Amino acid sequence: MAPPAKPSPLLLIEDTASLQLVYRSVLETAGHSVLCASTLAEGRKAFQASTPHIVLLDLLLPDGEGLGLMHEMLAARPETAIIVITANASINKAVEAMRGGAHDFLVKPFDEVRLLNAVRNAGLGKLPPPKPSQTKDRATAVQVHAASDDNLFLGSSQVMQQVHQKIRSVAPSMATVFITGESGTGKELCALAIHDQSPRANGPFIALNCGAIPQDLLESEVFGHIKGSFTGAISDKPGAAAAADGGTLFLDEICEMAPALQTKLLRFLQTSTVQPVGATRPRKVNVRIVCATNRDPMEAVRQGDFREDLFYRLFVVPVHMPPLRDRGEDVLEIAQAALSKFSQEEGRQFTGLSPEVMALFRAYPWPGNVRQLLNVIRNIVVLNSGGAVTLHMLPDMLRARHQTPEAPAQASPGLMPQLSALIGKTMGEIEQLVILETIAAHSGSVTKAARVLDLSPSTIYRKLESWGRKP
Amino acid sequence: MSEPVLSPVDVLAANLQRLLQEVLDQPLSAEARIAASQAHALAISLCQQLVPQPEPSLIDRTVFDALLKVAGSETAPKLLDQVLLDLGCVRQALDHALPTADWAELRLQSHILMSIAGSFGAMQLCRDAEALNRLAHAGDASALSPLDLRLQQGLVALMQFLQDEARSLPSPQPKERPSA
Repeated sequence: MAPPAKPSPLLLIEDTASLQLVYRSVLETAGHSVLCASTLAEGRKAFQASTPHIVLLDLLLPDGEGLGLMHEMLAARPETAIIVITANASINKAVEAMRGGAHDFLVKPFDEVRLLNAVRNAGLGKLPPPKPSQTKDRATAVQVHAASDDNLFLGSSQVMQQVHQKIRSVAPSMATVFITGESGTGKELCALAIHDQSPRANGPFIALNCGAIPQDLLESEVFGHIKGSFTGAISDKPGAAAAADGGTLFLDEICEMAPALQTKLLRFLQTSTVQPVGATRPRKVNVRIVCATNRDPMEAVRQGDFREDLFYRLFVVPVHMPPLRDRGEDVLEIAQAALSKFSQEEGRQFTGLSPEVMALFRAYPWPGNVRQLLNVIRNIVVLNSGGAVTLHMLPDMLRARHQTPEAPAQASPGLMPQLSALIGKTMGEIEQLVILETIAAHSGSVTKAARVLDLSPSTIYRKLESWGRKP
Repeated sequence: MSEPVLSPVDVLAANLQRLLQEVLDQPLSAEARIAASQAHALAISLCQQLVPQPEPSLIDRTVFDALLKVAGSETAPKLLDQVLLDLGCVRQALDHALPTADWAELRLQSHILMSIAGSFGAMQLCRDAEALNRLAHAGDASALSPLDLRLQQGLVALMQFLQDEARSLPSPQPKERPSA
């Protein structure tokens, strides 16, 4: 087994000296640094003095049972992964430990492979893949990811290369990712890419649209409920947080979450425990959070819609999904890939895009972003039999765009979408669009754009930063 | 010796044990791990009760050699010295606890013995210690005597083997002192 890149501190509490030496040798040979203790008292002291991420704890120690110490350690640092060690005859103790929050347990005697696998799994913070069938019948706003026909997370433009690079960097960690971007830019696909490239890839990916669930049901959707806890709770429901145990919980439209639930989410993030509605005891879960919004999250904080402490808890690694109009030739790359994919699905024979269509696609502002582009391609594929995609195959809206004379020069022709294209967007998105277009219309000068918009340059710089843009 | 004839239950238990061991090496949800571990423990117990064991050999040399290799030339002598000390303590405690059927002490010592024996590849002794541990948990003195004898013999043999191994280990090379 390859040694980990960064050996994490590991606390081994085992009273039999020869076994302690055996386990220690195995772990050190595999590249871990190991602190050893032989009693509960020593173990407690070592845990307080250091910050081990993983604790191997023998349940039978000379000065008492290890379960009490386990509870103490989890109360002090819930993120600690505790692997309890026991004998076959004490299996019930181990089960009790697991129910109390232990990450795993080892039954003595165990071999080197089993020990290292347990430590590896604990180090990955990786547990559980509940079967998708367990959660597929959930409300439509809560979705377990399945192979999607929209899985076209493509793009070779510089901005997208930066996004892909950021995803590669952040995916292996447990860090919370905050994705921003306009509607339709692929925030969920970005979250899914993070999940797929993470050590949790085999675990569940649970997507929850906080804006699509009635507020009075949201708590139950996120944290679950116990049968009979309220009218209509006809059976136990695990909730999205528990369903995502060992995987990734994607909270879309996070800024739309009700304030009361934001408090509970904050508590969940701090303790890694969930308490279903009506439950008497919390349950520990291992979930990575990725969240997204199409709003300016800082603005949502300023407006009092989003708790500031929750914002800072979640805004660890921001990823901004650029609008399609800023992605250059990506529009053609995605269109070609979607045409090929949808043609295959629909049994059509399309050969590609005509030069006129390519030119229109490049010039069109795509206010609905990638989602709109995919809908256009799906429309073309479904309504036509094949060949090269020509202008007459395009939906009316795009054709009208092609036939409409360009907008007046002062409105930044070819870039500024028509007013009707803004309908359906949030004020946050419109604000972003207007600011960016104004800066572009003034050759990138933030100062000049600020004067025109009657804003201070510092306000614009702050907004650009929150959108992941460089002035 | 002819191959023992295995019943379907034997085969099922043995295969379950192997399968569940592989399952346990994978990342699992807490609930799945609990279920798999319980099933694994039961499969082990079932195998021990049903599946005819091969002729007992004192030690699985592959396990033992692998352990010394992991320990390395510097730690291996220390490891053998320590395990001899630990086994000596177990032997002494068993000598006192077995005649009086001191179940608490027997539970503790059999727990230590099965862990050490299993880790060092003394699988028959490990199984005997597990059997003793089960008896101690059940407070069942009926099968204690025959087990006691075999276990004591196994323990003495293992300690003799370890002493021989300790003597045969090359002395660790003194570390080179850095030149001034």
